[in-house]
Amino acid sequence: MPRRSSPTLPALAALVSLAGAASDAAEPRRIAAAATADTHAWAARIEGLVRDGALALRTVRDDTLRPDRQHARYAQLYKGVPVVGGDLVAQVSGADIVSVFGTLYDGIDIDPVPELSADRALEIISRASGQPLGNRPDLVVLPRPTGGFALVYTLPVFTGGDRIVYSIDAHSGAVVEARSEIQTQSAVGHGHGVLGDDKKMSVRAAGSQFVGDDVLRPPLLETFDLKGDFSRTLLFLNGVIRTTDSDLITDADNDWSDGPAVDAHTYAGYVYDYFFKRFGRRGLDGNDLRVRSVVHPVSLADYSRYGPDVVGLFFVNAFYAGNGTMVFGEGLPAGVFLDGQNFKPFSAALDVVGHELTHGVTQFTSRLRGTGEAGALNESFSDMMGTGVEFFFQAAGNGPLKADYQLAEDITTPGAVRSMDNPALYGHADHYSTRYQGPQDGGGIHRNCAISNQVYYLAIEGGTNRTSRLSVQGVGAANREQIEKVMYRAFTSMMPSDANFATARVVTIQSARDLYGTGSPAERALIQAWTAVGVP
Amino acid sequence: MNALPAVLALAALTLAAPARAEAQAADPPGRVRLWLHGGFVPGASDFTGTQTFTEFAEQGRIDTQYHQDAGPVFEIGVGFRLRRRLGLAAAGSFGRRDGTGSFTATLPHPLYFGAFRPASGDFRGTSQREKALHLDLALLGGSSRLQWSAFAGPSLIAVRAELVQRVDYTQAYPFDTVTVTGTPLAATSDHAFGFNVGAGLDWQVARHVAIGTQVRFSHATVSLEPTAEDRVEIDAGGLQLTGGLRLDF
Repeated sequence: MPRRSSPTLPALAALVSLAGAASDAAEPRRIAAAATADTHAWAARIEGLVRDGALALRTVRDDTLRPDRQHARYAQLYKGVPVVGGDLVAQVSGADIVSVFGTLYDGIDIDPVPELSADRALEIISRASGQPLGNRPDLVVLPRPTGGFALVYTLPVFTGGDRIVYSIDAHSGAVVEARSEIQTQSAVGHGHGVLGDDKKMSVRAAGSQFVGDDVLRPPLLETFDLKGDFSRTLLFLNGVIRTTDSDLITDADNDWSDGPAVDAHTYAGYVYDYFFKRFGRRGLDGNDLRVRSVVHPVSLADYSRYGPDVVGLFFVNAFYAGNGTMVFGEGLPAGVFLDGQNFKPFSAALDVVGHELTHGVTQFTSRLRGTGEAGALNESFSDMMGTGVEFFFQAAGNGPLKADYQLAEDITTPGAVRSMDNPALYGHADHYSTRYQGPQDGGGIHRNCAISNQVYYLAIEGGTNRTSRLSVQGVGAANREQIEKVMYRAFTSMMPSDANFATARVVTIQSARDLYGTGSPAERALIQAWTAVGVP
Repeated sequence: MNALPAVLALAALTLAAPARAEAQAADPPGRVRLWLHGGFVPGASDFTGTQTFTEFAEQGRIDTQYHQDAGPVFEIGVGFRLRRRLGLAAAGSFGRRDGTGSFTATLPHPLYFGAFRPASGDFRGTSQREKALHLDLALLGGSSRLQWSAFAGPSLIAVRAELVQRVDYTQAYPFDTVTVTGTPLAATSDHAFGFNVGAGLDWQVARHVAIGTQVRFSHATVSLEPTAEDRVEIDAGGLQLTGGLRLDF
């Protein structure tokens, strides 16, 4: 991607810097500016913050849905150190800023020079997690939930049953935080084997055999078989070992029979195709990042050897492990149920694969955080895209290999994991007033995502929210593309990393307005839908 | 095939006409005749072909329409007078037609089943060559100056035709459309037995030399195999109009 200078400069040059107007409050300030006067003021403020080194232009990307627009993403810095969750996204049209959304942290007053070396921090994390580690930690400023800030080294670590982000105080060496941040398609249920559908495998001939390396699509799409070796899976996820060609799925006659491998490989390609054809996006990072799908991270035969944590992550789950790596759980043995559900291999559900790869898109765009309302929105965007890819490739209907508004229904028996049209079916919130506010599941990210899932459903199909009884006039299934594009654009180009539901409302409505005009059916549907779910 | 009634009518007319001339008939000299004619095959010849092929683990299809224009034909023959009005003849003819064609194809998608890419186009420069051997029993008649003949018999016709072998194209991700770059032609040949029928009229210009015209209709269905899996059936032969020199010995 060609480098660009900041697109805001022509407009900013004529404006007076307002950088000195920053608040002293320790609480984050949420910015949602779409009115002309506000955006002009923010243009000046951004210019000043950039000049002062408090903001750094991270990316400028063309809007693939509106060629006249660009989106500039700025990261907040404190004396050169990135601030977790602090960023701004400015939508730019020529020399004008159309909208600014984001979160900024004011009042940071800590020593930015670490007393601890990165190597020492790595030793501490390795000891705390019990894992050999090969990846390097990042130095960041971490806002503390109790107020104040900490200079920390942070590193995600894959343990037996989780992906834990360790934050080590860069002065004292204390473990400030060890937070589970696994981005998964949470699932609890029952499955019954292979779906039996025929797919084309885009692979690579290698000598006398074929390997799971898609050479037709622009990015490198590889599928690895870790053959149920759980120890090796952990070493791979933690960067201690690298996968090689010998780990690629293989077949002697190009007639592939390993169902989970076939599904993972082909569906990763389908998801790439969906993002390209629908939105003009080239892969997770917009630049054809390599995608690695991992199947058989554990052995189904060893199911009984593992505790609930490993089962919960590597059997009844799929997760995006960062940097284009996907891991697909094995499912459960026949006759084994978790919370009344059995699961097939997780790669067998197109919406699950779409969901997890969308986490990769989020990683390279909004970087929505993994907890709280931002985490719920993160999950919800993945659900939306997972559902979108289903409708793109499958006929609408009920049952296996049909597109619907259920999540993971193809691998779950009975039922599904989530429902976008009736979230309460699985005990999830369909209204902001009924959201989960406890500490579990990162603040209920897999439950509260159903609120914005309901917005997505109502904005397309229309209907009545079961809690508020408010009706929504959707754009209609034939026009689903409009809502898909609105959501994609809002979540990839305009959403700040620490967005909450209120931010998501204004961002998505602004996106609809930009794409289809004020008063358009898409804008009306989203306004009604957000109101119906209690996010006014 | 459309010319067959006309040929039969001409032959009948030719056979009926000599009744009056019979009175003044005088046999041409010699029992052996050699002739060399040139002429053309009038009218166009159309035929179709369908090919199936496997690509990207799925079967594709090419439907081709060929149009062969009129073309030249040459014939050399030898005849033997068995009796006063009965002869036996053998002739070899060599013809060529050039033509054009068009195709429509459904090409398998490399990434999905059932998502065929359509392709269509025209092509030029096809040729079809025919060699035929005709064995005929001939009725002979006429005067010393003007002789007629009517003949019929079996034919062996060999066809060498250039047929579309495949559709070449370029494609790029996401592979939903293709750009056709060519339709390579491959010469394919085979032969078949058929029949021929015709008539001739010669004008004796010297004791051993005559000039004449001839109309001959021949037909055989030749089955060609442009690929191992596919067959294209061609109606070979057709109407040919020739004229030339005859030598009597």
